Amino acid sequence: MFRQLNHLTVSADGRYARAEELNFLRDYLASVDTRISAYEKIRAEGELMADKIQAKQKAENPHCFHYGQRDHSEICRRDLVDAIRLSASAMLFAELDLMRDNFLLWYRTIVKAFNYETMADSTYGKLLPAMIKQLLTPEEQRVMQPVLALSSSILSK
Amino acid sequence: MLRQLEKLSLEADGRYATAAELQFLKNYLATAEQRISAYEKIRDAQETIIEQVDQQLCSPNPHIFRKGNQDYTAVCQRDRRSVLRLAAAAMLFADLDALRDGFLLWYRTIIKAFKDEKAARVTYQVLPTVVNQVLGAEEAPLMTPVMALTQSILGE
Repeated sequence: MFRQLNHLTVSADGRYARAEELNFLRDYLASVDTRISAYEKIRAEGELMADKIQAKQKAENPHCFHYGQRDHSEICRRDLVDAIRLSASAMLFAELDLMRDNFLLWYRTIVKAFNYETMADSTYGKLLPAMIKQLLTPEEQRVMQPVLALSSSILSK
Repeated sequence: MLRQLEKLSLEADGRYATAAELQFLKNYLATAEQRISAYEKIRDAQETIIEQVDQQLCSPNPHIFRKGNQDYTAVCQRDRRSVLRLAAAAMLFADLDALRDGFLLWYRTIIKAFKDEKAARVTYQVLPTVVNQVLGAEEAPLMTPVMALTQSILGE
């Protein structure tokens, strides 16, 4: 949205913006109420969702966060809390490009470096989308779905 | 609006945006439809607006845009068209700061350099009234702050 909005303000400097150029603003504005309410729900539940996801993963395999000698639950939890917040923000501002370029592609290299792919697949491919779906109304889910799909496509296998 | 939005997105990178921070987005949203329709009305009526301003200025003073032997009507019309377009964009994006810093303060130096203050004063007195005529009752108040800013910088 920022990129489009920036582009539009520059265009509208030299000439009037055309009807079709104003449409993306209309579309975004039509969904802002839904985006804000979805954002507020995720804000309230983000930490709890991270805990629940980890609890499920640990129930399946108590050693799933063990790499080498150490348990990395805390670090993984911190990353998951960040990822949830950044996803919510990308949804709020309809800015998937920024989320991909500034976070997901970088985080993917971390996931690969730590051989964390199976866990990432379970988190971003299955558990997080399922939990968000439970949290949101179908209308809110519609604006969140593209962000979840993007995260899943980049972070899971 | 754009500036606030970009600032908010940076803040929301490191922590969740608070309810108060989301409020400005809600406020903008509440007027956005009127902003877009006001913008479109001004866009579609720009030639009428420019001509009407011309008529209102020239009927009491036919030589208002004449300096020495030169008639600057066309130059002034071009500039007025830019002012109107940029003012409409500032209203649309709710970004008065960008209008002031990016255009009005510069244009004021031009007006002063050419000693056009008198013509500018009457022009930007008349413009708001003419613009209001093409807008609806809900749209006109959105344009008022922009017109007041323009008048205060260019017309004094």
